[in-house]
Amino acid sequence: MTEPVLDVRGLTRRFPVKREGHLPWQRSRASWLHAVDGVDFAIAPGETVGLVGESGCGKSTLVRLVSRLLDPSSGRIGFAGTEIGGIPAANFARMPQRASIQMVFQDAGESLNPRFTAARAIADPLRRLTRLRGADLDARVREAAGLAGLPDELLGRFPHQLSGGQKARVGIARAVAVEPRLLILDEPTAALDVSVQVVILQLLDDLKRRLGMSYLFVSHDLNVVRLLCDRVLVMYLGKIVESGPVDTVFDSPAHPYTKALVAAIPSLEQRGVKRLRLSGEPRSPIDPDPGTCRFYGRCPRSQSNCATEMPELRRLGDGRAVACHYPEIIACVQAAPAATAA
Amino acid sequence: MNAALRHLRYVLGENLVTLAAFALFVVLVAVAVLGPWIEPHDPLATDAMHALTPPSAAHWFGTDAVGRDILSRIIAATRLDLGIAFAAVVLSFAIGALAGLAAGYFGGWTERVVGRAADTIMAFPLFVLAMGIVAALGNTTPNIVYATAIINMPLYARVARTEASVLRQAGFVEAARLGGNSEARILLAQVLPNTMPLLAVQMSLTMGYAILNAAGLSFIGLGISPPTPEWGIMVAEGASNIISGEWWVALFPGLALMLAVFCFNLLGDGLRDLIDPRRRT
Amino acid sequence: MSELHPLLSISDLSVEFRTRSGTVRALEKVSLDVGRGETVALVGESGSGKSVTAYALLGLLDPAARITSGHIMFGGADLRGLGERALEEMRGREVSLISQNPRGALNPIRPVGKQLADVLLRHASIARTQVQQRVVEMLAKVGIPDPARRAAAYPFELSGGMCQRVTIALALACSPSLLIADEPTTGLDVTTQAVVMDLLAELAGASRMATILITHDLALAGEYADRIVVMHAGHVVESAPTAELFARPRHPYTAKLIAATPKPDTRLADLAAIPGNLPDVRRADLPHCRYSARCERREARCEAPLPLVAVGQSHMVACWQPL
Repeated sequence: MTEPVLDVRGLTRRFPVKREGHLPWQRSRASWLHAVDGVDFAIAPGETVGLVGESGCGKSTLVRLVSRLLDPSSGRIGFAGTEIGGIPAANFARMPQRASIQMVFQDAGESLNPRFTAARAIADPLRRLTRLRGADLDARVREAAGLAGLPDELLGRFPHQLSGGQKARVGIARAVAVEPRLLILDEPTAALDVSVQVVILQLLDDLKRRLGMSYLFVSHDLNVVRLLCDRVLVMYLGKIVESGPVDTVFDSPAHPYTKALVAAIPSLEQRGVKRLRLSGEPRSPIDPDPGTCRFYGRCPRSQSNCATEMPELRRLGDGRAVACHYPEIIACVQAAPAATAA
Repeated sequence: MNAALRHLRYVLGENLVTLAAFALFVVLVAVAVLGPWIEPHDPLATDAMHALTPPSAAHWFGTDAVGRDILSRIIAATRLDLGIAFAAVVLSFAIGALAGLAAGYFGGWTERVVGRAADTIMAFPLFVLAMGIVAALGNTTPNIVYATAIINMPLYARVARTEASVLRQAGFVEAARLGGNSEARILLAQVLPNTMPLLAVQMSLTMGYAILNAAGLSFIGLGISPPTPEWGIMVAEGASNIISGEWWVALFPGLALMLAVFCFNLLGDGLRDLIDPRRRT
Repeated sequence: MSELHPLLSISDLSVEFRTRSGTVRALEKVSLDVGRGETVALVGESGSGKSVTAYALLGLLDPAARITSGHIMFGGADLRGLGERALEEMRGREVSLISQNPRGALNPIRPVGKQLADVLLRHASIARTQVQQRVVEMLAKVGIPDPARRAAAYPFELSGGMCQRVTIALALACSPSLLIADEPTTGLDVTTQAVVMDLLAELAGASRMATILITHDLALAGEYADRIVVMHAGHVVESAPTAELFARPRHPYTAKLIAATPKPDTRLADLAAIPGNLPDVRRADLPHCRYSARCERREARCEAPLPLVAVGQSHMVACWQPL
């Protein structure tokens, strides 16, 4: 079994939320917002893992933790065998692993400095993270642009002179220029038209194979995740509630939240069909009760023990795992002995 | 480059006021640079016989109380006033903008310290503060520059701080971190260039204010000392002459002052359009 | 479906924008009908002119825009001929709009209940004493829990989904006969999107309100619209009942759009991009068919002015050789 590119264990990130008393002599109580709470997962070399979840689930924070832009409160982040969670984010820019973990952003335009040409944007990480200079640097910039399907004549343009798809390509060229092993894609096609999306997704797929990268692909669009990913992680309020091969998880979701997500995808075939809908709002991520399932209250399957015992992520066999007391397993799976209870 | 020139032409053509301000700016700089070569007379040469003569063919702007040619003195003063203002603006920008950027970008203690310093300066009526500084340090040209620079620093700090605190969350700043840039490098190479449009406008406005400040200090006797020609001094010298009917002694320097300040204020708007087309309305 | 006298009938609408870099012919001869109680989806990529059509209808176009031809018949009157006062009366009372950014549509410093009350007082003739009660009723109708208390909330205290519900309440306050929903769910989570769309469908059905749903999401249009109108570069290229459009698209662009939209069972290799790019609508020499430059079925006769061909019951295609 080859060593995973990324191995995350018990990753947690909490943010302090001050609740001040109104009067001057009332002491402020510190409350904690649990953005990411005890997350475990691994990404194998060459694997594409999808991460889905809705706003407030913690995927942005998780992405920033894994890309080392943010420090964890606790837990481990292993990258190709080396523990990198302990290195403060402020120092990570100088580490040799910096070039190996890169990111493509959701809003490509926002992620490009408006005063930098495309060429300079792509060259900047190369200048900082490699020894390439001068003609070698220029050659690498053009090579990366070529890989991303960006014509040479666009290299001298500024972001406001480029279309959405072209900006996306600049972002991709910049990320792959330094030859990362793990590429994190944060909703890379969310802002693009559907026909441009196709082209970019096919490009990403092609690049993955050619350059041997692993992907962590974050998206809210489950159909897109299905196209590109091998496995998927479903997050809810800071925890992973389900994981497994992408087709299995979406075709027969075990966790009620995943089921609601899948049911929410609009489709022609579902016209007029009354589908499962989630009511209410998510629970507060501030000082959550460690003994209550995060989905309790909105869950159509909840029972009394859901409020007293937090379900742990348990393997179901077939590479699947779910954190639920009453998972719905339709397909016949060989459950490992230490698996499902109820 | 062509695109930049075309844009320059567009901005100037679109707005006549900007064009006028820009033309005036060119004239002012030309006068300042070419000063000694275009002065018709020696600005310091006195001529008691021809004191207080009204504007004539020989002296276009007339002569002052000791017979010096006012036009030549105004030309000579252009160099001095613009020079002081420019030096003050550069100093103000260098220290104020950098402090403000750091405060906005890093927050925390940097922001608190810079904020308090700026508040302290702004607590004083600024001209009075300038007076105090010059009075304390002495009536020399460098001191006028320092005083003017100090009273304008909070303005830059404030503008820079606001911009930096917004930009620190921008996507490209995060991307720069992923690209291995240190925080200091991001601040200088990525954030600063993006704040330049607003700071450039500020610089132009400050030029106008700095000229006024230098003239004002000289007017009350705290700045440049006579016989050095300076617009403020000339207005002061000519003020008493108005009562006796010699209007030209104070009017022409006053006009020059007014035009210079006016020019820089209007130029500020035009500059913004030039540097950052996306902000243009 | 479409009746003999549709509620809204846009015919041959053309809109131009004058800009620094030339005249943009944003819409050209756009025609579409919306029947009472019908939900029509206006689908297209960005730059196709869908929002411009909606704003032209409401008389809310940018000052640089000019309607150069066409008619907008609504309830018997041509909206083009109406003055600003008459249009103001109509907006909010007969035609309402909800758009993309729910928080952006709400005044951040005013409680939502008060904003709802403002609309009621302006457009609905009800007594002041009744207003608060109506506000609470409307909030309850759009599914906001604890409406009496939430009426005093500010927009920042509500989630994105809640804010969108409030904007729906605002739009429906005076029971308009036509609702324009301009990308109402962009920026919302998919579960929230589902709930908001279900709500819109339910409310529209209950009061027989017509809806124009503007979206780039073909699947969303597929699930919620009765008819779909496909736009490309300022032209209507196809208009058909939903099921028929998906089963048998007749315009090459529609077919390509459907083929580019990911579905649960497609493979990445099966998806096909649409060749070429949107034409530059600033050019003075645009061909009659703005899709022809990208079309592989293009022939000599495609140079001629576009026809509008009926290929079925209320199924129109703007193409010389429909699929």
